[in-house]
Amino acid sequence: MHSSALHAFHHQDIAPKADRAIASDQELYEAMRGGDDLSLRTLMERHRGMAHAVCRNILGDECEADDVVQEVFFSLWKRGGWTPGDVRFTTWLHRVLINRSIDHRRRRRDTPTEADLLSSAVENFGAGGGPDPEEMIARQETSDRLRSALLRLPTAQQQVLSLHYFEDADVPEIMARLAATENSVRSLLKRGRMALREDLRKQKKIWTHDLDRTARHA
Amino acid sequence: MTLTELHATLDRLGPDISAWPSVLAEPALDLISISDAAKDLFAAATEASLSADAPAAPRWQAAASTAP
Repeated sequence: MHSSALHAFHHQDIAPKADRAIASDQELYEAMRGGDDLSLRTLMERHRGMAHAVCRNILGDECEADDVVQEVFFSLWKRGGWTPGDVRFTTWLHRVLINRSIDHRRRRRDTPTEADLLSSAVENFGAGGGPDPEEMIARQETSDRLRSALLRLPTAQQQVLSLHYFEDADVPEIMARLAATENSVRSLLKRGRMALREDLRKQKKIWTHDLDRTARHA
Repeated sequence: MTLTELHATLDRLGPDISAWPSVLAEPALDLISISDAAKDLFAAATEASLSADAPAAPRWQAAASTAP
């Protein structure tokens, strides 16, 4: 819609709600892109049923389907993405919903559930598999040292490294969660890693020294 | 799975792929994820099943809609 048409759409004499109800998907989409949030609501109300059915038929779960529908409409509001004249709005919307649902389904399939983890732990225990106790203690000690070293870093570096290493967050996610710029996140990661390495190197000297003393006294 | 096979499977089992056996569901989703034609076919099947499930319009509404 041209800006004059958009202006007319916003300021027609008829009631705005009725105005939106009879507007085409393209008019609503363009009004939404022009900042009219109620047009998004009308689009959602118009297409929610079908959108939900498409997602549910792939995911097999009502709640997950709701989540995907919300995500897709949120991303539509935030970034748009449809090019009028390319394919119909509904065709485009369904394709996006389908892609997103398949991604969700695959992520779910690749992520072991708590039940899977528990059963594999039980199997390992029964079969005598898994790491031996000494290895588990060594792994725990390393992890404790890493966490202690992390706590000695400046707070900003600590936050970025914790998100990156303990919550598997990548740079864009860290930027979003800390409301920081990409340069700032990358720089904090780099400086944090260097400081952590230096700290661990110093600690290693102390641990080696302690071990030597223990061995001499034994 | 080919587009024709997807079409046939949608006709036979309906569009609820989550209820399909995984030997059929996974190849179907592989195809749907890469083909716009397969996506459109699946969406059309879902839409058709929604229309079939929708309750019939009340008699007065049907009469009003056919009025000149």
